[in-house]
Amino acid sequence: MVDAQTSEEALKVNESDVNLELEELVRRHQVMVWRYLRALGADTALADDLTQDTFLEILRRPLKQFSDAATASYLRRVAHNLFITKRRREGRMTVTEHADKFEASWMRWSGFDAGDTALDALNECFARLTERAQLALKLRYRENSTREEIAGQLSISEHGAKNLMQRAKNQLKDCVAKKLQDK
Amino acid sequence: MNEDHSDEILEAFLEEMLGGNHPPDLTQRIKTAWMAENLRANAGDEEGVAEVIELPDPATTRNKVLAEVVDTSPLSHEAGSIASGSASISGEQLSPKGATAIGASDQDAIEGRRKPPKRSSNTKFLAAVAASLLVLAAWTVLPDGIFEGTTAAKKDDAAPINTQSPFDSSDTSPKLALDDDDGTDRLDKVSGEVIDIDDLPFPNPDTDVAVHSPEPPKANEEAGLNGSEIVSSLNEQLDALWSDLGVEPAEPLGNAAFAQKVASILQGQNTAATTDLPRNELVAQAVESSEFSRQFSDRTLSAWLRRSDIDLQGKEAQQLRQLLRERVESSKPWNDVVVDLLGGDLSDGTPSAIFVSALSGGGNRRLAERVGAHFLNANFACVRCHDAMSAESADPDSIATQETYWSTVAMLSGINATGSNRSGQRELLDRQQSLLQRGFFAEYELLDHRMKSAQARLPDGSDWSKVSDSEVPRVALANWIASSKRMDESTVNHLWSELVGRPLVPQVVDVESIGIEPRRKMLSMLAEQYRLHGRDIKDLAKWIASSDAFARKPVSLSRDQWLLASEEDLERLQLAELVFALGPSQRNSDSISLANTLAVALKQKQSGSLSDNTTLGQRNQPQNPKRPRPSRITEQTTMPRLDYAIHGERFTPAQKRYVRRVLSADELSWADHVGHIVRLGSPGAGGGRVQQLTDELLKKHSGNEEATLLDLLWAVEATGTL
Repeated sequence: MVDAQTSEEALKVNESDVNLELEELVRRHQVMVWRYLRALGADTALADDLTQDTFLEILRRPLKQFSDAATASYLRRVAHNLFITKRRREGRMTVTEHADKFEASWMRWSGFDAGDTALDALNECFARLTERAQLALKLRYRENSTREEIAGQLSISEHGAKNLMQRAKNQLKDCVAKKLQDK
Repeated sequence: MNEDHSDEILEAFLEEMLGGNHPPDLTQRIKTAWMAENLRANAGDEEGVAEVIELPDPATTRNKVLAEVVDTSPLSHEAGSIASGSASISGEQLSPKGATAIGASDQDAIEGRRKPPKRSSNTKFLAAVAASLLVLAAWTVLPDGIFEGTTAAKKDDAAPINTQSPFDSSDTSPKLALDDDDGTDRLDKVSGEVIDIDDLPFPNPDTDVAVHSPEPPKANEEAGLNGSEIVSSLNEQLDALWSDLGVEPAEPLGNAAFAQKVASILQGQNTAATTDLPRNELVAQAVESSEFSRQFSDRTLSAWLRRSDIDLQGKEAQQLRQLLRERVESSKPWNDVVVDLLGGDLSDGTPSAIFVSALSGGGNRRLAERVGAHFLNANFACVRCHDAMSAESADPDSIATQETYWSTVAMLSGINATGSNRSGQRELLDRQQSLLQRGFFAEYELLDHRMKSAQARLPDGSDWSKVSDSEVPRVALANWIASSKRMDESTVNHLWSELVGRPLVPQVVDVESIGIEPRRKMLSMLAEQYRLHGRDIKDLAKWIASSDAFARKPVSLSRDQWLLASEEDLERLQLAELVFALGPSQRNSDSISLANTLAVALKQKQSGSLSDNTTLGQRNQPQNPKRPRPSRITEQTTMPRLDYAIHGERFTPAQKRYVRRVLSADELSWADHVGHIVRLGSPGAGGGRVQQLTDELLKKHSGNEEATLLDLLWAVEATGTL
């Protein structure tokens, strides 16, 4: 007969096991899901919310986990669907037709490591940009400066600022692509 | 690196790297939400389903700022490219890698920037707090079905404690594959795997046995009936059908007329070479001729590739025609043409490359619809968006469902074609090999705007990777189709339509269902015999051309007869033609387009020979034996084209019901309504000209949409492939 103390301990162990599995699942994949949602176009708050919703969705519908890659792929799909649903409710354009392409692009960038390698590569590539290009991008992404403000800081026209940032991004893309290919 | 979407991804990474928007650690938040959900479910709330969180839209305000900040490159996207504008990161250091690298202080800083999600109800928030306090007690009463493999949880205190985790513990493989697997192991595990999610469309994904599997090879192959027996059986069934419906079949064609019809329909010739032979020999001789193989191949390829990205007069189309002809002439199994065209090597210049390139692209909607219409005997046009709206006359074996459509699209994912073939710059891309690790899925929207994910499956619901040796789903699909009853029936239906004038069984029975069950039985019988006879298209042609349906005289109706005929007379003719008791009033030809046919109806309306009231009113009139046709028929009245004279302006109850159902969908525009009717017919029909003519017809009908769509429906049927 199972006494109360033993059953309570069993409960604690069981709850502990489940918590560990949940934590493990979240730990392994939450960064990837969050970054994926950000790349889709979610702002940070939305990415937080939809990341949570993604994992809750998985927990509601048990799945067989054959491998990290398969789980990650499925998580991205769920996240994508949730994002699209949100966008549709807001009456915004959806990306359903391009989901396949987006996934392919994501895999080229992030592979199986949630994007850490790509970020490392991006950081290295950023360091290779000219000072002016670096400044322009920092003003843009760190300070939320307008194009006019960026142009003013760099003493160039707005059009010039736009071109500068565009060229810089293209260089970053090519540089990161090469680094990821080499790895 | 592929240009598609790389820019959006770069934007997000730059915002993280430079803007300090690092991924937060949401573990505790997710755990709390999960516990709260369980507690809510225990308390008797809606089971297992968290309400969709109506998120506030902080992006709205930020977007206004974004409009000024973001550069105008095409890479900018709406909402994501926004730096938080909060705590910045000093220097140009990398972000911490992964959530675990985020220290407590970072996490607080990050989470401090975010607003807590607004819940739709304060109750949920309180429930979350209560859950954290009551977690130990609550864990014993988790609802049934939450955890896979759980035996039915009993909710009394004496029940065994449910120790099942959310993850499948019956799986002997590690619950979470560890990252210390090397790439090979991961790939081995990933290829061909199935993710068992119960919101995938198919209820039992573990089942290896297909619901409707292709016929397995029989140890002692059942011998089919001989040709005479098949024709006799077919004629008996036709007689029974006509008798049941009270239809008197037209007289059979005389010898000369029969020979002429054989030459015309089977060989594409205007005059018959000889009329001396017995009919069955005449048919056999015609079918065995090279003219038959050329005629059949040409018309079939034109139907398959109509309005595709291929020049039907060009060299590539000619190559495909030759392939089809050789298959017919050599009496090889006709169905294998699907493998040639869809499942073969996609290197430049191969038949598969030409065929797939002509139809793929743009999400492969067109390719999936053609596969459905021409190889699976299923009209996929409307089920892209929703399942069939009516269960009347429903075929229980129908695969024309939204699930099947999207799982077919998923089978073709990774295939894409861009550019214009007409300028010689069409490029076909095949990435199916590279997608094997990820799996093949397609996301789609239900009518209630929920999203669903369809896994790549064969049309019978089976997992292609388990029942097929094919490396990629495209090839598996082609091989499955080639040996399926669906392709057999599709071939029979197509050839019947070519020879007799309309399909034996319409793909959309909602609009044409007269005598549908006997017709399905005939289709099934012919398909079975076709399979047993090695899928020789020439045998099939001989049986059909030897049947009573082929040999019926067509309607002959002069203008005076038409003017004097009562409604009942014309309805009788209409019914007789629908069930093949009368030869076709209009021979389908490649030159008869939907637009041209619709112009016939428009012309009739413009001439004003019959009033609009007659279109809708007649069915309600009392059944007088010689009910006169109505009004305003004058000596100047011109008889319309014969098929319009018989079928136009008199519509079956099924047709009216269908049109009314389409019109009842208020959320659809007029163009959508028109599209619904157009897509009942042959894939590739329609276009701007059809829409324009329909709009003109609407004016002629004084805005009566139902009458207009009925005329359009007639035109679709008259082009012969409904």
